[in-house]
Amino acid sequence: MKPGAGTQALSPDWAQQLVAQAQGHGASEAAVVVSEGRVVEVAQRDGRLTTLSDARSTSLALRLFVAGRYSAHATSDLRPVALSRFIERAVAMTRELDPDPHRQLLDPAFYPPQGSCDESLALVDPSYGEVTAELRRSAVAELEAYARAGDGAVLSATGRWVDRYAGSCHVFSNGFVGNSESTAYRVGASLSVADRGERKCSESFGLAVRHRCELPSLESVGREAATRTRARLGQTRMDSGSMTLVVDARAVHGLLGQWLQALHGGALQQQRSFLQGKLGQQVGSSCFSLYDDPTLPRALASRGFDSEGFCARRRCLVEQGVLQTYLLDSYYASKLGMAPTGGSTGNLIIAPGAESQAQLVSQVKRGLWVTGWLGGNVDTTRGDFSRGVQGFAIENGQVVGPVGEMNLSGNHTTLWERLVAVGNDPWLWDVLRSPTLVFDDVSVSGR
Amino acid sequence: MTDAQYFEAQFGVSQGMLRRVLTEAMARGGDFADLYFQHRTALEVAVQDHSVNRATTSAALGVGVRVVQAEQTGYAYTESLTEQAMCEAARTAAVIARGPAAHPPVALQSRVLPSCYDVGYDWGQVQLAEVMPLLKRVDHLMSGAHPAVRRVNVGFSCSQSRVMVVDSAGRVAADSRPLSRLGLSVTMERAGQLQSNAASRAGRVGLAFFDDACVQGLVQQVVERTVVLFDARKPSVGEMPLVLAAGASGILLHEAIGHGLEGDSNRIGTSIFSGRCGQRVATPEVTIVDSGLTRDLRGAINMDCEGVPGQETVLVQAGVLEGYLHDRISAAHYGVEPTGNGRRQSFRYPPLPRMRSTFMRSGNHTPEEVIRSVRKGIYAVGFTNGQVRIGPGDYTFYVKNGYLIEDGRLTAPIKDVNIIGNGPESLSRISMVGNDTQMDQGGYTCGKQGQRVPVSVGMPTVRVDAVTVGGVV
Repeated sequence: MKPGAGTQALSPDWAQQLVAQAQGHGASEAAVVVSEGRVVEVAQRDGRLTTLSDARSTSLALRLFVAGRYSAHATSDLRPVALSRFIERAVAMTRELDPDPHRQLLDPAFYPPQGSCDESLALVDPSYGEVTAELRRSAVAELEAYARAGDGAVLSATGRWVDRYAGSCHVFSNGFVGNSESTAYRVGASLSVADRGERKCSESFGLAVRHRCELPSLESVGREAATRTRARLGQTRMDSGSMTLVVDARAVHGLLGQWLQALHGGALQQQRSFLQGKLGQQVGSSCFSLYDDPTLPRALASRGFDSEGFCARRRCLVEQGVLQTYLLDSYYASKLGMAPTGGSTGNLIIAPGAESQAQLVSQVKRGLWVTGWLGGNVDTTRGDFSRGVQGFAIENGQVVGPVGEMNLSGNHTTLWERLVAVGNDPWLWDVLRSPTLVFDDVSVSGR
Repeated sequence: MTDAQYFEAQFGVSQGMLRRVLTEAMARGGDFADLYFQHRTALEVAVQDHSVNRATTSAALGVGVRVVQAEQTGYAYTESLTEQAMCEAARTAAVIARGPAAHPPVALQSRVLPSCYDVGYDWGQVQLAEVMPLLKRVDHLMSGAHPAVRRVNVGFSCSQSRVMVVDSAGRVAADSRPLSRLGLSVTMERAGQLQSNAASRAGRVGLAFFDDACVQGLVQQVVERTVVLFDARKPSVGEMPLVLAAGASGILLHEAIGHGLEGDSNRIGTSIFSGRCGQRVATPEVTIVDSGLTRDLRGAINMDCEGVPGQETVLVQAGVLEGYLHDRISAAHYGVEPTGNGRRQSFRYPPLPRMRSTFMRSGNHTPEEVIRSVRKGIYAVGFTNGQVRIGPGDYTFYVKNGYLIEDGRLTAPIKDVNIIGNGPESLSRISMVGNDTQMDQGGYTCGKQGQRVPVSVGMPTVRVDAVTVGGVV
């Protein structure tokens, strides 16, 4: 399985044959995705390799439209006889469902202009084939060593490496043919040290890239894991109260992810969205601008097209606090009587501001710098949320010490109105590229 | 056909092939190797806008090969059950080991397993026509159950997983595991305000489980727990006593204690419970069990994913920490027998120590006594999810439905609050245990290191003297 080698599984011929098989059994339309991938994972803990895992897989996903009815199927049992029977049964089963006039393949007008490929996104590392067992082993050894380095006793330290290749071929019966291929590398380290009493502090740090040459030094990753762990020693709780939240760039996903759930067509159509009726209206302060960009070269969530074949393009979701678009796939768009906009997002970008995190912290009288989450949930219908948090207390502009075992609570309709400042420090190693965000007046439950 | 013969009959995996693949797996030494065969078929069907208009099927077939030397694991899998593909996976997994080749087993011996679930038929053979009437009935009942109902979603999922474990000691164990779940969610409207809620019934059960009583109970629960939200609010912030209602609140045990007692983190000393076996961790009224033998529940397993027979494991006996949840690696580390907790999501993953059905045994108090003992606190009834950091022991769970307790009585309803505490602290603060242990039939799934497995929880009414409630100022 080599990127760009055009393996047999990823040639459109096989997917075309499977589409034809489904149609031969009576499907009016069919969408076939053949995927293959390889994931290699290596971990070293306390000087010894603990995990060596090498997984290769091939699978088929099939969406069927039969006599106005819809179903979806997946299998990894690709023996020709088994597959043939699987498709035949899938088509027969679909006929038994209730009809649904809103289920259609996407209108080809939304497909990419020349169909096919995501090569210009540079999602495949040309050096992927050069990764050796020795390289992986030396990487995890280095990650562990730097996580372990530094002062103080260590209970356990781990270095982790994952490299993966994924390829897929998409053939839809109304004319779409697309290929996508990508590679990714993930490196990480974790450290566990004794804290007061029986408590142990364990934190990890890791990040992912598409091209190996973009990995930061393994030393910096290992040391960051150690820094994050030791910074948490002696965690206390703050007094309960309403205070300023400085949400670290790397932790923003914990709030934005909840907010985004309400933006999807399914939530809107099923009356489970606090953003219903908010298109074109203020949903946050003027500091809040959010973009979806699946076209950034080499980025983790870039792609040529989405699962429906929707051509990737940059779009604005929120402009200075005003909601610009919902995330509507063709199905829920049809149910809502609206035009489809694409039901999923690629890379998410919150527009940065002018000040550094240190400058933002220095302006906070009493607050909480949030660096991590623990559990919690959101009611997407009402926007009410509550989450466990950990981070560092801020007093009179100074970071004073680690705090945790506390909860945040609020409502997303008011939270984003209280976004008062945005940092200049976007975190570029994630699907969400957010800077540090500052929210005023949030309920924090502690001592 | 017995479960152990299934892979030979269906896919031609002969005893000779098994021996040759194991020989390949042990070619570089290692303490043991095992092969985990799985053939899983699944069906999901859903109702939306009063139409059974979507269904999903899936099939997965493969074998995972694991080679273990001390605490090191080599792993590979293949979705093709040809001898060539299996031997190649075995060679990949064997790379972890260093040493002389170990001898293959001479003969394969089947293990005897308990029987914790029984269905009249195979979910793999279920027809859509058998399931659709159930879905339509739930949708119909829910839609007519209350005038405020605006949206109803009903989902049914079922699967049959055939599994077989063959190890380098020559042991063979096989099982056929049914699993099914009926989920219901609703949005209601009152005076222009919307509220949503959801609930489920699930188990290793057949279609007969979802009878009138089950369906009506589910609908009634969803109606009651959604209607009450219109009058619910968030409680105030801070630390206060918590009373957990019997049943689903076993999520406390799962998060606060269960994960911290899994053998993998304890053997490397990174859990807050490491090295505490034999110590008093709770009052004598507290006994906590993790069991694979809870008949028909999601957490029931006749064997774990290492072929170890299903069994019951006492974690805390009358307030004293008894032991951990082990897979074969952690059991070997501690020099004890595996406890049957080596579970995995599928053949694509190596096993990890995981919970099954985790519950607390009944104590001496009536539920009324427990509630009456609290002057100002929270009574938690419905939950959605939870999480834990096993090093510091901090855990959370999210309360969707509950009530304030004021002067020993349940008063105003509350909603959407996260509860946070510290595992050992909360365990030591359990001051009253009710006499009403109830296993919950909800469809819980536990996630760990990217692997999801079905679990169950159970609990009597319990008082915890202080936790931090994520209310509002």
